[in-house]
Amino acid sequence: MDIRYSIFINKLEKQLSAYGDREGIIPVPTASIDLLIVDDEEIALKNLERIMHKEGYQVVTESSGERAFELLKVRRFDVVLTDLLLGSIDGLELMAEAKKKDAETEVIIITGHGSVDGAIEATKKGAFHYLQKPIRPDEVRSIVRQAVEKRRLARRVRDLEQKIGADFPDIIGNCPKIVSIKNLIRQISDSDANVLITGESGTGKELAARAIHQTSRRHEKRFLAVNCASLTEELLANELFGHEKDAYTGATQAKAGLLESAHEGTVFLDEVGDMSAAMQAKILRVVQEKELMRVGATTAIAVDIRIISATNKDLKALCAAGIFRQDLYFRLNVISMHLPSLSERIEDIPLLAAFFLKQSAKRAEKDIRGFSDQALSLLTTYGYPGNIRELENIIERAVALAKTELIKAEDLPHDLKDFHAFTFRRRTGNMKTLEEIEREYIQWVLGQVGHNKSEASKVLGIDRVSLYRKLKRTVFEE
Amino acid sequence: MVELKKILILFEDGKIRKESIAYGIELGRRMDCSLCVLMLMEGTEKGNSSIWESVLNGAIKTIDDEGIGAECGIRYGDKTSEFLKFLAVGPYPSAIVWGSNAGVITERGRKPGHWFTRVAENVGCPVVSPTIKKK
Ligand SMILES: Nc1ncnc2c1ncn2[C@@H]1O[C@H](COP(=O)(O)OP(=O)(O)OP(=O)(O)O)[C@@H](O)[C@H]1O
Ligand SMILES: [Mg+2]
Repeated sequence: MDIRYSIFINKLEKQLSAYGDREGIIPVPTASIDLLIVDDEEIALKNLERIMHKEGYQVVTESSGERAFELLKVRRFDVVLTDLLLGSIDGLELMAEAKKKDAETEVIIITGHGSVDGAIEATKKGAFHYLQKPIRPDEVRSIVRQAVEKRRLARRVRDLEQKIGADFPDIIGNCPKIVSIKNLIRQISDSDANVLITGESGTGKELAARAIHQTSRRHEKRFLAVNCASLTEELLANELFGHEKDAYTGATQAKAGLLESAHEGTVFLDEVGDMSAAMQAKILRVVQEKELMRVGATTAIAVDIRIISATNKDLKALCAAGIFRQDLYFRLNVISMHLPSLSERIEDIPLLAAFFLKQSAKRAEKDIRGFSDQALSLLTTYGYPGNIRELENIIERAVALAKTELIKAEDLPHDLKDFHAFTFRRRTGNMKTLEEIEREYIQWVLGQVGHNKSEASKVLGIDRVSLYRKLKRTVFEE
Repeated sequence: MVELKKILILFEDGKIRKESIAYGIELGRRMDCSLCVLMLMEGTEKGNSSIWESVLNGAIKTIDDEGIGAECGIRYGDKTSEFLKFLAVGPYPSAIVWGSNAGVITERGRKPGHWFTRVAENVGCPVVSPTIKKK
């Protein structure tokens, strides 16, 4: 039995239970196991049927390769046990047909005494195992059991994956990193904590931010995206905070800012690392005091907003360099989420490519069904410095160029064929846990107030008892 | 419109590999970015600047002809510190294309000892070095 499968399943189950499996315990599939046995020797066929029937499987037997072939076209089986040599159609063809119907069908090939070569070829082509005649009952029982188990696990993995991925139809991907991001989004759906999303350009930071908003209790209020790098200091302040009448020449009317209009909603601060020092101070006030001042105002206005920020900079390094305020960093980075680069999740490339293909083909009203092998291999070996956005644009353009119902290599940008694009990336650190971030923050605040605990608890907004408890926990853990 | 997000195409010592410009243009399109071309030169400006400027202008013209926004600049001095200074001001590039000596970054890794490979490790965005495939 494949140990990797069971580890993978354990992981998936843990993830599921972590967010509270809403439909209850995942049922272990107990449905009956359908087995097809194909052998042109009637006696061997009857023998196998009897053994397998006793094992509790639903057994169908077939003595002709052709009839088995026809049957496999219309019916799926969990396990197929077939002789390699069957006259005009051989076991390998049956295997191909069975897998076409259901890729997870396991096929066991039976070969004549001494013909190991054919058996080896069969396993290379995807057979689960081979058996040599004469067949020993205990051997066939054990191998079929293993095949059934593998099939059951594969099915269960798929069910779990579907279940996990089901809530976020826009976020394509099944790789473990994306699955855990979807889980994290789900886990924090009850929370109002601020989130800091990191990741290279085009990895889906905004997409994730929207998903967080959509699953939160704020989903009926606004989601407001602000690019902190896009505007000058004054314009950004004016946009975000609004202004009072006569705040400056030309301000003939008072105007509410974007933050005010996002009251009870979510604000997405993109490129947060590019915020000026003055803007950082203003945002800190909003986060800390839950209030803001319009430009030119004398009184504060209370606002309730959740902030999701994104950056492709190393904010921690910016803090160390004194460019980004550490107190703001801690406030924004209550929950951190790191989106992997596409090259860290190449297993998702075919899935993403197919998704974008469908989207673009529909938009372009073209009937394009897939990719040629060569095209897909170019797509999966490229390094994607621009990540998912780059893949999306590549596919969109390929769809525009494609002349047949397949995207071919020539429809892809020439550099994918003509250039090696060695892509080099910084190793990314592990995501921090909430406790770690809190611990660092508390330590930092303590340092700021000269280790005066009552002062620190005031700054932190918690009572002294809680502070002592948290400190104790830190000490114990260290 | 000049896109807000930028791809930096980086050269040193007046060496420009054509494929890096071609690739930068492609990548700019695919990442919705404009391009920024930077040449780093060892030492001081002396009287050579006009040569390098014309080299750069050629590159810029190629990019302009493709209808993509681009800026360019030359910096003289210690390459590492000039490069880091460049990164410190203005928005961070979304990717960097290395356009000089192809041997600096290859499939086997980075050439040790070269100033750029030491910095590349700490750059917060992907660094790409395109080279022509041998047929
Ligand atoms: N998992 C995904 N499934 C499907 N589409 C995705 C996924 N991740 C990203 N995309 C798509 O890729 C594009 C880029 O995503 P997004 O704008 O969220 O990236 P970003 O990290 O904010 O990039 P930047 O840093 O450049 O702003 C979008 O069109 C988005 O819909
Ligand atoms: Mg974005």
